[in-house]
Amino acid sequence: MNKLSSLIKGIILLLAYLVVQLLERQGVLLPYHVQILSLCCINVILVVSLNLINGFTGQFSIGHAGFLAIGAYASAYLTVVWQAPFLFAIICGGVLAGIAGLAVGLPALRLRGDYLAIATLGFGEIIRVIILNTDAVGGARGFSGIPKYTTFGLAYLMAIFTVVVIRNFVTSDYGRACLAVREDEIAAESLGVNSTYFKVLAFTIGAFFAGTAGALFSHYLQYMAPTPNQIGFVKSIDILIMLVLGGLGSITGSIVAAITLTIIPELLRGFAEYRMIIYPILLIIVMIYRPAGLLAGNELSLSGITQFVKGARAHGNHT
Amino acid sequence: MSHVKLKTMFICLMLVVALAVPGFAQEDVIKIGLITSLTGSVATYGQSVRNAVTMGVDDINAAGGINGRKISLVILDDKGDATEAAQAARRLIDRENVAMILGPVITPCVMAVAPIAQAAGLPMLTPTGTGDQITSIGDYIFRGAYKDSFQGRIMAQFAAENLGIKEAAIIYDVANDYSVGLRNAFKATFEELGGKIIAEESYSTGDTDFSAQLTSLAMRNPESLFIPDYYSTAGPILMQARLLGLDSVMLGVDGWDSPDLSALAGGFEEGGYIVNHYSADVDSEVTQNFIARYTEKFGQAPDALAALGYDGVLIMASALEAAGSTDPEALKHALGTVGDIDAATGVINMDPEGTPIKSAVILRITGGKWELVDRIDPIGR
Repeated sequence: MNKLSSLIKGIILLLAYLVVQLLERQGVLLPYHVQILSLCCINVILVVSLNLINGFTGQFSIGHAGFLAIGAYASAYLTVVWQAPFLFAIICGGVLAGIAGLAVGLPALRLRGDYLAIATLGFGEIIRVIILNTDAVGGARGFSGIPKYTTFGLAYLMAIFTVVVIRNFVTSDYGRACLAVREDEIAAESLGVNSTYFKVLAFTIGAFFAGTAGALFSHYLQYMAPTPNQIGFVKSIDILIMLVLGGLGSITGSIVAAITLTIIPELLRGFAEYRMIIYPILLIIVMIYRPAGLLAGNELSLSGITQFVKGARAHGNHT
Repeated sequence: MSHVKLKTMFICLMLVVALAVPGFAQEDVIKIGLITSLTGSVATYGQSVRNAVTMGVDDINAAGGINGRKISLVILDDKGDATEAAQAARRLIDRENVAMILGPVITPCVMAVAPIAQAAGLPMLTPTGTGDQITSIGDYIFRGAYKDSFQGRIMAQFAAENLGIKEAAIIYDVANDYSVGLRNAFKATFEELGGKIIAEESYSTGDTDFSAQLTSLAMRNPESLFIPDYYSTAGPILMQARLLGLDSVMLGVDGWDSPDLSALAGGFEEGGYIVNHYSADVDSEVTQNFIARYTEKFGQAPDALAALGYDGVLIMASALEAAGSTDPEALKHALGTVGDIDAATGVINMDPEGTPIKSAVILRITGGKWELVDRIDPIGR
């Protein structure tokens, strides 16, 4: 049953990709739409990786854009200055972000709650200021002339890879330990779970994926500016909003929220000044009616959907 | 349904289509996309540009359009964010099929849009982007304002030649591209003209206390102090400098141009000089006409961004007229060669490099008002 459902999911994902490719070739989907879809995939990676830290391990990090920045700039430097292959640059970006995650996580994760939030916020700003003052990556001018290597196919594949790895991590022994730390750190410690180890582990994995998302992002936009809304705290907050809206601790929730919140501002673009009023109102409405997020810690699954459909049908038959 | 009936219907349909097609062609409009920041931290800049551009386009349409074709404007907001600006650009190119892009307003957004326009082979003109590197992205990228470095050069030239200043000090924002670029250009030209930079201090975006740097500058007692930053930072620096006893001649840039400067500088901005894109005092007919109509229409006097936005439309209109079509190649060529455009910020001559050749004005703040001191024509590029 399990194998079968994985196969079905695989086929659905492949079909989705083929449909996008076909529609693009037919001219139904314009480069504009494909670009938005690529951005959706990048945001999915960012939100799902933050979910591992904030949702599953229960730490409150608001410096995720710092890892994105490391991945974005490191990979861009590799492809522009050293003409490195893109895939290698993505991995390097991810690994460097992971190392930074480890370096920050070791001291910072001894802190809890508000203190951790402030420490990660500080970390994010440090990264931004370092980039701002590094002439090799353009400094305050920004890094321009990055080749456009990010295709929809690649972003899509990376997003699937991220989701699969993080889902498997969460359902493994390690993931259970992370969940235990989230639920009650003292109880987990008393059962022999080394809480610092698992917190740092989750943090490092999250940072790694944020770094790969950064690499995809810089080769998608072709220009990185060290502004707060590009790699600073504004970006971190954007990712956090997507996460909270989707529901902490729900991978499918993160995916749905990342995609929705990437597309909505696009749909609202015609409203000019009112756009940034309508968008927050939508967020407020969701938070009032779904305070724990869209999926509130639950997952969407194939069997869940089939059962829901069956239930609806059965219900329909009764009335 | 019989075959004959089907045939008749088909013919009718074809006739309708055949009749309708020329009908569409007559209503042919030139579609222009405007990317501007209507929301976000630089919304006031973007709204000024939007107002001025809509006014400019309305004028053209009221006068019968360009070569008989009206202009239709598609306005998209970029929130002052590079990612959003890139999305807006793709939308204009792919979905709206615009003939040309006007905007974005601020340099980071322009830098994100420029590679897209260049790759798509669609001309774009940012009316306001001053970052030096913008036009080096490619040959489809144009601007209506001068470069940051040009502004720094003009100020150095004015200080050395017109004011006869021999010594200058600089305080600038290391984290801001605009400030760094201006400082570099000012320093290079000032030294070239025989002046001496006796001291330099720096700070980072967001700092509010400059007393340490200013105390150190006050000890050197420089003849003049160059402050290349926006009014929000330049204001407090001016106030703190005067309170610490610095009585140098204060030199500034277009970023000082704001009604809020006076409140932030506490009146200590009096006597300072700035370079700017335009002055409301210039008695050219186009400028005065623009100021009067803008003020009437929007209930406030136009700032430099509005003037630049209006000029962007004028440059676009002359290029479209010269090109005679919306063919990107022809339009690109026209944008690089049109000249003698009598615009709100002075006479504009475009250059294939992408940056116009135009004069700058020097203003002095006297009795709380910007007063025109001089108009300086560029020496070289």
